[in-house]
Amino acid sequence: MKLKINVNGSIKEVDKDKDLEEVVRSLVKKDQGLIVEVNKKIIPRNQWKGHSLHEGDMIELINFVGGG
Amino acid sequence: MKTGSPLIIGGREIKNRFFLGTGKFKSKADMKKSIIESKVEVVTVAMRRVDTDRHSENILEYLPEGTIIMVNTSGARNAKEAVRIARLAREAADIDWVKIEVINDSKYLLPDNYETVKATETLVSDGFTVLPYMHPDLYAARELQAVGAAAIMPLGSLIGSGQGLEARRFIEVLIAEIDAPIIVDAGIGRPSQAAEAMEIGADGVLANTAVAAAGDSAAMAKAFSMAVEAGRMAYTSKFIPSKELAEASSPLTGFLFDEKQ
Repeated sequence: MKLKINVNGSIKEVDKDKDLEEVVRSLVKKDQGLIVEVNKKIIPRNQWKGHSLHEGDMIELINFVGGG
Repeated sequence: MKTGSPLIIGGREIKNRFFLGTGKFKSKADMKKSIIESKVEVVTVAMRRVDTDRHSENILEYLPEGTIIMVNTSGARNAKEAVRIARLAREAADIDWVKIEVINDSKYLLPDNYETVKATETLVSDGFTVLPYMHPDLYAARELQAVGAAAIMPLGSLIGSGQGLEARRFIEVLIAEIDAPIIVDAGIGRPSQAAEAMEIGADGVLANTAVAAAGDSAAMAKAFSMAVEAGRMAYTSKFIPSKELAEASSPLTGFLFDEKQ
């Protein structure tokens, strides 16, 4: 079973039994310093594992970058 | 006027009045070297969505310990978006200094003063140290001061243009009328322009592209730091008035070749 989630503004299909940690690791090569928001709420790194996702969840993967 | 007084923002004394943006550097190592060699104390960073197809690194890991980090709200098109970025930065990394940057125009990248005032008011009441980037307008600056901006950052000229102090006359008005520190941001391309901003009484200068895109970024960062310090020292030392005609600096009597009458 697949479910559709929104990642950084685009729709992605993921396996229903994958938790947030597995989904993040499948999307991002290096997660050092990565900020993960689900439905506008930051999920701390130690809670990624076991955090189940639902159809239509809005996920934001954000990082600090150089800027002026 | 703030002659000779230390620069205090958010309760912290800032010794180096040159602030540096961290965008556009050739490498993170280059950026770090520039910060260390110029002894910059305050830097800006941005927040972006991660490009999942690319390798992405967290810039915070590369900032020397003790650096004051100010998150900018670039990408925000209105006050609400700016507030969201600031809150996210605080929650994610305990960053509570914010440079409000609300831009809705892709050609000139001019800041929206109205939305900037709104975002400043909200974030000050959230407990942030707020430094709004603004178009140098006296009324907007007064509003920003009234709602609690820790410093006000008028643009020198268009972002990234290197045109220098195009807005000089209006920045002078803010320096004369606003008690909050004035940090000139944007458009500063050369150390001499940074020195000019300090000579007219600005409390600091923020630059990014001029350093990051220079041939030798670390040396240029140091040059900017020195220029900002020199300009400040000159400002506090009081200038001579400029004159129409020449005035000799050597005595006008006792010339070696004068004939006694």
